[in-house]
Amino acid sequence: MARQMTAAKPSPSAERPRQMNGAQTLVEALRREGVEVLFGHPGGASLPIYDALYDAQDIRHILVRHEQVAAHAAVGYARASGRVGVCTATSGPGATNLITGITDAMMDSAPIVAITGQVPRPVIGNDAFQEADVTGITMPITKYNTLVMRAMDIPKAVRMAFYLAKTGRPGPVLVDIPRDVSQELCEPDFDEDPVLPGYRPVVDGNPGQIAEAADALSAAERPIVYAGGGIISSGATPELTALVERTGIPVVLTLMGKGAMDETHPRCLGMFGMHGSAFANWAINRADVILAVGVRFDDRVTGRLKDFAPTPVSSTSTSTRPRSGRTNRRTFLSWATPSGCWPRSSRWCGRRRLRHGGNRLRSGGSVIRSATGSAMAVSAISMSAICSTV
Amino acid sequence: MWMAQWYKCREPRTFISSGGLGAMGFGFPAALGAKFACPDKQVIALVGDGGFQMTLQDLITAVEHGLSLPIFILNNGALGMVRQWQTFFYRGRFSSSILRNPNFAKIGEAYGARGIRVERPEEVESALRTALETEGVPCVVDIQCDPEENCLPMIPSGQSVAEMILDD
Repeated sequence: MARQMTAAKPSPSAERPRQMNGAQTLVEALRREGVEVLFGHPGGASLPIYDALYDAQDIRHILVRHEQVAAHAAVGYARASGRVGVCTATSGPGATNLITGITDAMMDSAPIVAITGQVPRPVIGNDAFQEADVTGITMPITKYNTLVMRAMDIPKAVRMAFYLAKTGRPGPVLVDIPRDVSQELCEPDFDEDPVLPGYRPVVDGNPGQIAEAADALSAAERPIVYAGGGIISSGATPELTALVERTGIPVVLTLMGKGAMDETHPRCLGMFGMHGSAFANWAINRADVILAVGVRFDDRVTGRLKDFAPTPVSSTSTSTRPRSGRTNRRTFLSWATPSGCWPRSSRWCGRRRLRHGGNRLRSGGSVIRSATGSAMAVSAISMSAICSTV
Repeated sequence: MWMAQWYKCREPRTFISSGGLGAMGFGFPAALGAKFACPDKQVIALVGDGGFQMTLQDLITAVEHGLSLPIFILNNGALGMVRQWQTFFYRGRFSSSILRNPNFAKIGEAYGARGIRVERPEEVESALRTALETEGVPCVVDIQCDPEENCLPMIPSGQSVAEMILDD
């Protein structure tokens, strides 16, 4: 884990007092993550943080007039630049106003870090003024969240937040800091590595599955690429374009995939799904092999599952792995990020699935099993491997 | 959705929309964030009259920071998607989907932005040009649209391409 993380950059301003309060620690930790802009609105529980920001000439705080805007702006910042967007709010109503934006970031896999003030430690759980159980509320809508109970833990929490937000399938992370933790003096260690047992985003495709996928694509009569937002978040546009130009396979895009490939390219059919064009929808519906990249088989994309791309696999495609009782429904799977689909490896993932009954793909690929003629959910890396194999 | 249908996107990270959540009020703040991320790029917000009213208070933030940010409002005087579903699936019973709107151009001006109201198709081009050339302040362009215009084609929720609605 430590090896995968980018080493924290030491602050340019060399000599700082070794002892600082939690809020100053937070600002320094943000600086080391390269944060230049954050969007937020102050309040009682985040006043120490704003006091520390007052001295931070190199971090620009954009005062918004409603915290929802801070969260949405962080998403806009992240999606336009590829960097992590940051928003802040105070406890209680400030934090709850972030919820819509955080949920949006979760749904669209946008890397943002939300920093919220919390009521002081002694009154947590007492229905204190402006108290809300923000880590509880945001459990299903964040990739990870944490309530920091000691100032000295802030650097680790911030490193973890940024690392989790931008790696694997990106998403929102929330760091909740009680006011007295922000005020507490500590001697922070900015180089301490957070421990994340079990979080190892898979980035390499499985060679066997890549070969299977390449075989199926080669044998296909009417193959199509179904490309989504994962192409954009993983920067895989050149690989996608290369695959398409090498093979001549046409591409359809999801709403989130707009920009994944030049829509004026002759092989790009543009957006399909609920409001996509008729031709793009018919193209994927009549395909015999679908290469699904950086997508999640959203219900507005598939429509009624049993009628989504129902065409049987070409009999010439061999070495398929049947995933259901129906012989014409076959699936090749390469569960891989970063461009991709699943898993969003976090400790909340299991709980979230239980709670919501599961987003269809996250709940184990059932949509693929039941829906398509032949769908391959692959990562960008797998895709370039497929490209060189086909 | 109209933007997604008609705007041919050529490069990654140049089209930002609330996809999975479909949150109204997302477009303008997301454009604000994008402009702070990429100050040298031309960023525009394309919003609806319903959505814009959910987060328009932050026009002042854009004014405060001197952002060259054109905001185009496709103003159809309705919660368009709701009205569309009511048209197709609720026999045109427009329950709470027709909006009485403020004068958005004047709201823009009140915030210190530029405001333009477009009422006829032939005014669109010059308004676009003016908005795109406006430097140092946001420009709110309130474009009056046909309230009956639907976002088509459409595959009704839970149906398949065979049931696609192609025209009214």
